[in-house]
Amino acid sequence: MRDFRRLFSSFFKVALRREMAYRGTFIAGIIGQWISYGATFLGIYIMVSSFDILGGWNGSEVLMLYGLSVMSYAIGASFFYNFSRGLASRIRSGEFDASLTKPIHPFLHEVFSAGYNVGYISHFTVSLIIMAIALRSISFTPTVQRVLFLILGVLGASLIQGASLIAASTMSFFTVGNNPIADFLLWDMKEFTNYPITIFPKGIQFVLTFILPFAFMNFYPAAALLGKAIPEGYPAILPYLSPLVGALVFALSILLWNWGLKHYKSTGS
Amino acid sequence: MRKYWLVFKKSLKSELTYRAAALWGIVGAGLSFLIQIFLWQALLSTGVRNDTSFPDMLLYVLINSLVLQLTRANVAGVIETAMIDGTISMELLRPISYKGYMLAHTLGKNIYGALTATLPILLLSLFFLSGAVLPDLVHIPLFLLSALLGIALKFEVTYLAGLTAFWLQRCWFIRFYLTGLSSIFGGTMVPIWFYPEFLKTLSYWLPFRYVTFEPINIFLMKTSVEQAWVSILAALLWMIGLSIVDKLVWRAATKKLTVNGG
Repeated sequence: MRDFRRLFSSFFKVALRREMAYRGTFIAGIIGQWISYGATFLGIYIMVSSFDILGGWNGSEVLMLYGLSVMSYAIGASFFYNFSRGLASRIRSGEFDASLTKPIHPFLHEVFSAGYNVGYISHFTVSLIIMAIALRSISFTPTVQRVLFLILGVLGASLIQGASLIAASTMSFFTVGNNPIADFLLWDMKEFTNYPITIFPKGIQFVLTFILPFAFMNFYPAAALLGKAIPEGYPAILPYLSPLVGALVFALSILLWNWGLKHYKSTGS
Repeated sequence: MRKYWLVFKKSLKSELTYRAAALWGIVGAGLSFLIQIFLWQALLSTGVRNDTSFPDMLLYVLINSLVLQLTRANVAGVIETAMIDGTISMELLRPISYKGYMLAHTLGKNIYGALTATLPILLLSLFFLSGAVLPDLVHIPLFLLSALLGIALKFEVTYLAGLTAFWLQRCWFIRFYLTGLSSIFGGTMVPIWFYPEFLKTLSYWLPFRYVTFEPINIFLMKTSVEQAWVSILAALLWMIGLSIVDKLVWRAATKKLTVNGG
């Protein structure tokens, strides 16, 4: 465990230095992300509050959904984005094969050497600020239990985000071309969870709960926190299961990755 | 003109080879459109606003998605790569204007994806569009004119922002500024008629609302004929102003450009 920590911290320092080499770019990038994510937050708020309510949630409450989604993405992607997006090109160039010869598991070596992505600090800060404002405006009283629940929920959600990045990268073992399934998993499906899933037909609610469980990333924890209704007939315990679901899909994604690794044939370059 | 047509055809052809990408593009666009359908159904069923109908919003989303797909371009990224690997010196030697080349290249690259992604959602929306009021014979040509201007204006803004690549070390972030600003001030996510007053006023001072918002308003006949001419004129003035600026910026850029090897 101590080795693990030492390894992580030295890889972390390298990543931070790499980003800070272009300080101006780094800051301009963070401001750009604030504007672009801020625009989506603003759009969602204007949209919902012009109609007062969306599926039983008001504007500030719907902001919590996108807030949780962006914050957990910031955490999950800061660990796994470089790894996930870089794997295909590392396989193509043959660099990946070096990972197979290292004294730690290839997955860990890939994650560590791809590096921690410091840039996600922008996603994290913008979602933190928006959620704080949203919770204030609905006069949410923070108790120890509620704050603890929120933190656990964010952790579970981050595991789900990490799992989808890992699962998406598995495709690289089979095809070296571009990876449209990754875009589907990472962007198209997640777009549903920007709004309460109760506004969608039953089939979509089912998929987002039991097949690709993105609803546990924000909808269920937020519903528990704000006392909102979940889809009719679903077990009342679901809103509290995010950390569990997160751990489960994360483990599954690593199993999937290892299964892909077993079928990997080097390009020989 | 023939030169630009060649560039257009070449970049279209290279896009045609990515069949799988186009297929997933259709799936993605279809899902996004479905989300919008359920979202606006839920919002409009509250009955709070009576200035917007469901077919209005479907047309709004449809026209927005088509124009945005058609004009999606990463000019800064292209210039950045060309500067790093030195091919920029080749591109500057070509007997063709760089801006025209970029425009032909962008349209050629986007037209296939935009059409394949829009056609299915257009068919899908036919089921919901029964109550839609189609524009009359005066508004149709006005809409086409303002939509063409909107597409040109969007390209102009992207191109001008892309030229800053000549002065920056890295420029992957430029598109975040562009999408953010055009979402807020262009109403690409939420129609500007829902906006609070101060944001509405602010949007008149920037070019973004003339890209899709004004053309859509003309299509939905929320704009009178006189107002339509005003918005077309405003878009035209923006075009002229920004074209002058981009010529000056281009001249400064090529003067300072140094290519390392290549």
